[in-house]
Amino acid sequence: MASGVAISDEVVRNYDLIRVRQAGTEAGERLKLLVMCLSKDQKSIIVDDANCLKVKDVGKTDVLKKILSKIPTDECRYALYDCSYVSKESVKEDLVFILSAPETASLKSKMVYASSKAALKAKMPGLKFEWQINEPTDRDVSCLVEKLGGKDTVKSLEGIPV
Amino acid sequence: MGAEQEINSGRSYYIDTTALHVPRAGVELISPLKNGMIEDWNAFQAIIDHIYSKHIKSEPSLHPVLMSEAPWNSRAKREKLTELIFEHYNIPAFFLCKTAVLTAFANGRATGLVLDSGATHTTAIPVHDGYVLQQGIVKSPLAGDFITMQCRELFQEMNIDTVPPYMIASKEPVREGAPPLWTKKDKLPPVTKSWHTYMCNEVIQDFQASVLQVSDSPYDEQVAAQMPTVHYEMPSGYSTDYGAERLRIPEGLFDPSNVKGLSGNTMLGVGHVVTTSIGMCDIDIRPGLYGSVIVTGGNTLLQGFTERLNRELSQKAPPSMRLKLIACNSSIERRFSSWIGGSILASLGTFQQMWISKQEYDEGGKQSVERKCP
Repeated sequence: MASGVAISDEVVRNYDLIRVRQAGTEAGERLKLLVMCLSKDQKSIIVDDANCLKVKDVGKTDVLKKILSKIPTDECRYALYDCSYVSKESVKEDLVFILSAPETASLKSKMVYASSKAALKAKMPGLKFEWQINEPTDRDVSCLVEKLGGKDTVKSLEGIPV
Repeated sequence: MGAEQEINSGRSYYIDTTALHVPRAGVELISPLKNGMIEDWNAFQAIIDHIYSKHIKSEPSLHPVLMSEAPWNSRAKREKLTELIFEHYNIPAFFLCKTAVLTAFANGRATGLVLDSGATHTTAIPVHDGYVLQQGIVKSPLAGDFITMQCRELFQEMNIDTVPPYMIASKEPVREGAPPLWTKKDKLPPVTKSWHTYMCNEVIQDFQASVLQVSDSPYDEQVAAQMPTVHYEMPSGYSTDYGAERLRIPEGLFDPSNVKGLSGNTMLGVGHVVTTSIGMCDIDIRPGLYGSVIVTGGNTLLQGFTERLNRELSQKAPPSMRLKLIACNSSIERRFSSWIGGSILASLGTFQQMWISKQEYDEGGKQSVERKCP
């Protein structure tokens, strides 16, 4: 069941940018975090430019903390996070879809974000992992590790051993 | 809830809380729903007519309608409802949503286990990505009405008469535990048993809401004996303190092994209902369900319910599983979360393209509901 909210072309374009490594783009310029929100007229989902992060903005230390600081704690957001982690077999980089709907956000926005999620994900084929953030306790590295496959699969996340 | 009367030519209905409380001769008390689905279509239609004439005060053909339905509603009933809405009421646009999905969305989640404990049943409904997983729905009849029955038995054992307010003309204050002194109203019409029972149940439900408490660990006689007592006065004036009974009665919700007539079936306890439901779902999504257990329904407002449920689930769930219970603090939100979710959805500008319009119904027939309202 959907809410009928439209997905802007900008979102689809940015999804391709974060998903596929473009030839000719420098490593630092690639998108690390793409944040999306509801437009002011509440009719479509657009890119929240102020909160997006490129690889060069993030650096090598405290990566997850920087990522989480860009996801507001009092408003709802969607995000795509290009997570790099080390599994038993190899180094991996996978996209994690994040739905952030904090308890303190308004009931109406929680309702809209939750019911529009399916439509948004339909425009992003190939997503493997999803992370639902509702409370401060969800904003923890252990939750993300669980979504990626648990402690057995993930050996280290963004350079920090699990 | 409606009351109906059998007259020679047909039935007349008395609907709404104010009309319901007036004692009338020969009027039976009925509910059009059975098992959460519409059973008595005539009564249902009477209620809809009443709503339009007394509350909305407008023509049905002017406003689209969004209805919530039980997640286990049958296809035949959905189609019959769609037919009634479009053919009889000429409503311009219609949509049907499952209550559990609306509740999950209203809590900002598209995935979670909705535990709905109301009057007639307690159900666990797994919702994943906005869709109900039908194979995981688990129902138990142990809910508000069951507690009311247990309270009734308690009062019978204690020889307390649950006299409903409609019979009482006046009462005098009496000492605690002394027999009540009240005078009966004269010229009361001969009411039916079903109506009288309902009025008595209302008294019991008030007792249920104010006095009962769920023990935060499995019921223990000694612990219960030390429980602080709560004073309660019946409408008849009879008043006394209640101690161990406060914990003993709701224990049946979580541990039905001692309940008479259930043959020691423990699978119906609330904790079991939740774990069984999650257990019937794909193993990959179970962490998502345990991490979002949404508690809703009037019966969950019993003092101590959520704390006990938390304890039961943390014992029954797999050891490494992250468990989180979501329970709105506001009683309005807890009882009407699906209505709130539905009202927001229906008012969204973008939702207007999702309705089944009259035109779509004319072209596609009542089967459109299966296609457009999954």
